[in-house]
Amino acid sequence: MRDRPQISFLVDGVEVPAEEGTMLVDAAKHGDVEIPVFCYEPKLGEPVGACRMCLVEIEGIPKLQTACSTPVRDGMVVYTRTDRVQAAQESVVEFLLVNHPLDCPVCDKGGECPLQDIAMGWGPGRSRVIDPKRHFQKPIPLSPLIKIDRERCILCYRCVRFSQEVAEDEQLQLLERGASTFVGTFDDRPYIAPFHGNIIELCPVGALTSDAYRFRARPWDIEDAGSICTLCPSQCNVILTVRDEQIERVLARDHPEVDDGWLCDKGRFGYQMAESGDRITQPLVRQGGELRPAGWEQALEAATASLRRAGERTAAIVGGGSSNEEGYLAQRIIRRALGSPHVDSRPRGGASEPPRKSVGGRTPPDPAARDLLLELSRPELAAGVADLDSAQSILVVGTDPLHVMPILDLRIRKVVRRNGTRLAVATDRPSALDGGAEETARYVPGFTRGFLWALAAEVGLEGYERGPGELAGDAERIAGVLEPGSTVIVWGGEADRALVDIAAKLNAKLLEIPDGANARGLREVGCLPHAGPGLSEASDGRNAGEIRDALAAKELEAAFLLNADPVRDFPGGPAWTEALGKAKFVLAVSMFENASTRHADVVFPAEFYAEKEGTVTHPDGRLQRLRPGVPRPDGVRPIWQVLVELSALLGDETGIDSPPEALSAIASEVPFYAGITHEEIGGRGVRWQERDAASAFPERETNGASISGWLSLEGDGDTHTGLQIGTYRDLWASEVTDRSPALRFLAPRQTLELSPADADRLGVVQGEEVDVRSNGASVRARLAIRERIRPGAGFLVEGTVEANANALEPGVLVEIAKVGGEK
Amino acid sequence: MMDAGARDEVPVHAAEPAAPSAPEPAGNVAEGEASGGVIPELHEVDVPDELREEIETAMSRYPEIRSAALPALWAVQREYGWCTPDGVRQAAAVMGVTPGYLESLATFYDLFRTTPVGRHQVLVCHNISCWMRGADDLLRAFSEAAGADAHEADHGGASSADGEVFVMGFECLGACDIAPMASIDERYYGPLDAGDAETAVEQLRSGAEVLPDKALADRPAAGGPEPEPAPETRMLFKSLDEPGLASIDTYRRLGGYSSLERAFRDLEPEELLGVLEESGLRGRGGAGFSMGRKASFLPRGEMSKYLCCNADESEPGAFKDRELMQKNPHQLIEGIAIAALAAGAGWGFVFIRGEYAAVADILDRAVAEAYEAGYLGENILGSGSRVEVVVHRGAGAYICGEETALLDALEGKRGNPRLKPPFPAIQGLYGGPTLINNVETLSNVPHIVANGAEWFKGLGTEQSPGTKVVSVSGCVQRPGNYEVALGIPTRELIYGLAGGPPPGREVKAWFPGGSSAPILTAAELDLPYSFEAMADAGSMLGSGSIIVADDSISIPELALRTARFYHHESCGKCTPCREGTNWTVKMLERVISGEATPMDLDIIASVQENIIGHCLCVLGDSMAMPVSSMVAKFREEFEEHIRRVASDSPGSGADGAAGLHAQGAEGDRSSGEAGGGTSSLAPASGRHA
Repeated sequence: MRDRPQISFLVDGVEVPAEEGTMLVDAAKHGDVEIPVFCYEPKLGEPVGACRMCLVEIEGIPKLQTACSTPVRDGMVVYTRTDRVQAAQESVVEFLLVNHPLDCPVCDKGGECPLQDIAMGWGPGRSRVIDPKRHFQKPIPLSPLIKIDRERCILCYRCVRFSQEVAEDEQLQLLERGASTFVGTFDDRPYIAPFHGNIIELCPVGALTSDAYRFRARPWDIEDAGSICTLCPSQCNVILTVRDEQIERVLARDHPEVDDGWLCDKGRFGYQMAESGDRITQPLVRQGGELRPAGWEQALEAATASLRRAGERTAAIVGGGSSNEEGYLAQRIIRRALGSPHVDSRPRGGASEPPRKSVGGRTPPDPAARDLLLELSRPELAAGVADLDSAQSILVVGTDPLHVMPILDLRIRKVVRRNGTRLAVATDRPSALDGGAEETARYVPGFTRGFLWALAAEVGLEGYERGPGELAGDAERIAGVLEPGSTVIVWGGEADRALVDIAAKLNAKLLEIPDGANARGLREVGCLPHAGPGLSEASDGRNAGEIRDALAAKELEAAFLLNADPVRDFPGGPAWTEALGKAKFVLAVSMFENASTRHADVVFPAEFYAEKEGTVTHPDGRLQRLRPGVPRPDGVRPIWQVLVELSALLGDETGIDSPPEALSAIASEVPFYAGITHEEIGGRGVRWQERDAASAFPERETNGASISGWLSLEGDGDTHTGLQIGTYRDLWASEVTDRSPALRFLAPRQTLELSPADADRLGVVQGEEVDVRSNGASVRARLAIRERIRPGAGFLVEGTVEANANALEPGVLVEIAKVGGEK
Repeated sequence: MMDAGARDEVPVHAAEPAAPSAPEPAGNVAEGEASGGVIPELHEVDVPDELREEIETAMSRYPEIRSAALPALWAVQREYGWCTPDGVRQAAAVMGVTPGYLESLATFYDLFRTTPVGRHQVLVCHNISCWMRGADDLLRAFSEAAGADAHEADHGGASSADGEVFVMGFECLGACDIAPMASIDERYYGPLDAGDAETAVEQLRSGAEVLPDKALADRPAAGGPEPEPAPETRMLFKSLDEPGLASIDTYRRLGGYSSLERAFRDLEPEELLGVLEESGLRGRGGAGFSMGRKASFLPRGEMSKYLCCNADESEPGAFKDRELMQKNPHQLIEGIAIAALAAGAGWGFVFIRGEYAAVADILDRAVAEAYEAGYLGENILGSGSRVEVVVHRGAGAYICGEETALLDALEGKRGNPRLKPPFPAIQGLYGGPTLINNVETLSNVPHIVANGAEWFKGLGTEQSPGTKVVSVSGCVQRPGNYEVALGIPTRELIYGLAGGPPPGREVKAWFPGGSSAPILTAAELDLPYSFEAMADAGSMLGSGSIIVADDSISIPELALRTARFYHHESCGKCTPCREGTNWTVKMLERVISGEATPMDLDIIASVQENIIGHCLCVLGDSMAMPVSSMVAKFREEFEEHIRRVASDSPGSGADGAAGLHAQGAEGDRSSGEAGGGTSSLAPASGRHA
């Protein structure tokens, strides 16, 4: 934020201080003067001055001015309630109601409607209109999630501005002109876009209503509860609308440093999974080959007995939706109570991206892994979300924010559009952000590391090789966009030393988009095989992939799956099925029965985020508080409490008796969280990098030993004649989608994306069913031709219910076989 | 195939980044029906090669590709006869934009058809001047000849059963000099009568040449080839009917392009600015601001700057720019090139209203000749200066004459006015400094450069130097454009030049500056015709378009015609204009049908007050001021009209209403059709219905 001089101005006779250049409508608030608005919404960008509701009188300017678009200047004299202004305000309200049906008694917005409030506060109080109003069919679906009532619409254009200038999907449009204008879509097709639910909140009248919330409650029936959505790493701040102890709606709780006040549709409608009838609401214990309901005591006893038996041959997989407290306690049980080093919270666990033929055939030695982790987590290198706003350039590499951390997609769009920030995107699969990028590079599937090395060489780092022609050229183009000293690198996928080196060289900052909502927090509280709480040194445990293989080989006996469904969500789904099948004992904490709990012997019901108390850590290091907004279903207990009890039963008394105590236990073991409390985190969270304790961040062990240079690039993977497969996690390929009735229509079917050239070459057509085969594994998919796919590459979706692409190893060469012969 | 890489390389202006591509939809909704909203890929649509080429050529002509949106829709409409959903998707795929974006444009602009229509298009002007001279009868005659529904024809258009002829009542087509008139397949014909309509439809059906003797293209200037020396003062109109004037050879033979040569060879931009400012030339588009000063507001220095020529002349009663461009296009092009040089603009865009297709064709040819002769393009006459000129066709929206709406339209958006500040001189087209001038203003430039500021100031009045082309239409015997020195008595314009009302008729009221000017009465005929005198009389000179109403004209009907036009043309962005014009029309319709009371006249007057000064641009005021003046000056006639209609149909206020609703625009829109939509998202009204 630029510092602007403080000035003062007069509004309705009161002298009010303000920052110069603030729009009058905002500045007036400091003098307790409310100027009514409809179209003004700073989140949507520049003011448009369309509704004319905010007309005010300014001394020295003959015409009334719109307060939403007039920056305040020192000494300005403004009147908002003179006869002239009142007449204008009344006339605008009267005009807005010329075509408004005034059907407040049957309107969902009633009681929380800006039009109602403004008509009462600033309107003439009576109508002179006796002519017929305009009519539309109503309400009709704008999308499967939103109903539109065009008669109520006052054409403030907030929703279309959102579609055009924030989400940039440009599907929602104004059609026709003048008084016939209405909001609609091309050819009346449904508005399907991942952020479109925001228009419900933006609408200042009852024209856009949530299908799921329609007629569920009046404002006086409901209570608000603030929390953090942990359905993805965005960790958006939310308000839960609660009626009769049930969540009826989720709204944004604007946090400029986290979410800019937006939500994705998954966060907005995913609350429905909490009320799913399929939810596990009491412990289950396997009896006679079947999971049967059991009491807590019985379940805890069964778990204790089996875990004690397995002892150090137990491993834990902590799912990304777990809180810091849950993760901390789980690793503590594994490490202290059971004496096992095997715990991981990373689906890719370091080994999932197999060493590639073209990458020299070696994986990094493990001592380097913790060092790399320390380097990548260093506070000075960490970019906060808000740092994107001030960066001059952004590199997105190895990830597509839209699918993994959707709100960041909006953030990046915003700064490109409004600040002119230069954007470079380097990914294997085409990214949703490509259109705004100055340069894009498209490398072979899974080849992020190769690209990073080439980029490292390009920016002049010793020991990295530029790689073959195409890669070097891509790196050169991308490097040309990056502004030294003012770049944020948004990265995902496998960690690589080159990231640290590039960031150091360019004086750039790093922001990881991790797999898993609380992935950063879980790592920092110790859910890693090579690092304990506070990223402390830990004896070598096995990573997720190794745990899987060890279970299959019966080297490990028991698995503890905390909010994790590795069969669906981790690479090697079929191998996980086999591994869990072979385990002697599987304990799962889960909201639902799924492909992984199928192998469980004991299942504890999990809490939904809105029921939890605890903390999570945003990918940028911001600790945020989860607060229970609704009670847990009967039979569900707080998981932190269950884990404390389990730990005690296994012989490790934690002494923890409440969520604040759990946090303080974490803070005592994580030096850079030292002293943190719920009170300090508060409603807005706190980035640990900005606290004094950040100075206690651990130093790396192997001092300065360069690990660059020991790998070299061979080939660019482009010489293959076959098709190299890449996988990606679609935003909607998730349990949230499957368990929330409103979202179910979005669940993706398996799709193979190919370039037009490859489709031609293989003789397959759009929509055709094909089998994608490699090493005995086969995934059936429907073909989608996409122009921006790199020739030689094909992409499949991970995490689908059917035909999950995690059966295939990313990067492998595949064969494509038509299904059912010629069609 | 154009691959994604090529698309990425389409030049994008730095000031406004291209919208990042839309987030893709989720897996299984990406296919089929649901995918319609996202950007289609080329392999998903079957674009005919020539259509694709045409769109890609258009894309290459602009600094930003979205400026090619209107040309793309024009191309789709030419290819398929209307903007079919498939055609729109094809264009969207070629441009890399959502089809919704293009549909939003197609439904904003009147000339794009979004439903199937007859092969030949007959647009019959039903605006003020044509209405006064029998447009309603003419529209009915065309409808009957075509066998199309006359009421529908006047409310969005109707096609003949054989699909050959589409007839549509249209707002002012800018040819009041040949009222009543029609645009038939983009060519203007008039004045027409019922017999002409019948003949024309027959000719269209048989493929014969349409009404050769009624073509506007062949019509001489109103004052004849050799006007009396006074009161006409011909500068812009000099040699107007010289055969071949539109060609560069003739233009040069008569001394054309010598100013350009001098400017590019011998003058510095600052000198040019000085001459223009010194000349006192005031903008001829309506606002009357000093052209030279406006040009001097543009920041100096190296940056992308633009010149836009406002050729969107659409004010009812205005048709001067049309004749200037149609007959002397090189005079304008020369003016554009010189003004661009003065302002440091590398691009000159002529935004010409889509209805003027024939004129745009003439301009296109002239621009090509000018390029050929080295008067446009890079390094003009070896000066090192570059001016590219693009003729950009609008598509039927009066609002695009508002300068910031023009910029939005030129950028490929709906023509909505922008908030000011920032003013276009600082931040205009594509975010760059932009000088916007009217056709007539720019046409003056070569003469000022040739003869000097002092010479120019010797013409006209001190405050309004130079000549003015005045369009006179309505109830006069010789409607047409007359070039005069400002300050001549209005009576001389209306009676002397334009011949006054037909024998036996008297002037009852007149608009001094197009239909947005408050009306004046016969008592004000002796005022000098100048910016100052018209303003003092409570009206305005505007772009210099006089519409005369004689004593046969009903003022309440005139008020409704006027209000309907602005209601139709309101862009809808701001509340007072959108709702105020709409409400005013409904109230005036009740006045006409006798359903109103004198109290409604008070409300009408009050609503006009509530519009004036409260809108984002001047369009709302443009209705409110004349309507307000009519109610104020002719209130008795309004009251008398209500009394008469009510008593003519005793006890049948309801009948009157039914009659109106059978004919009226709004009545049927707001009644009954709500359930008629074919699909769930279909609106109940509007052009989709």
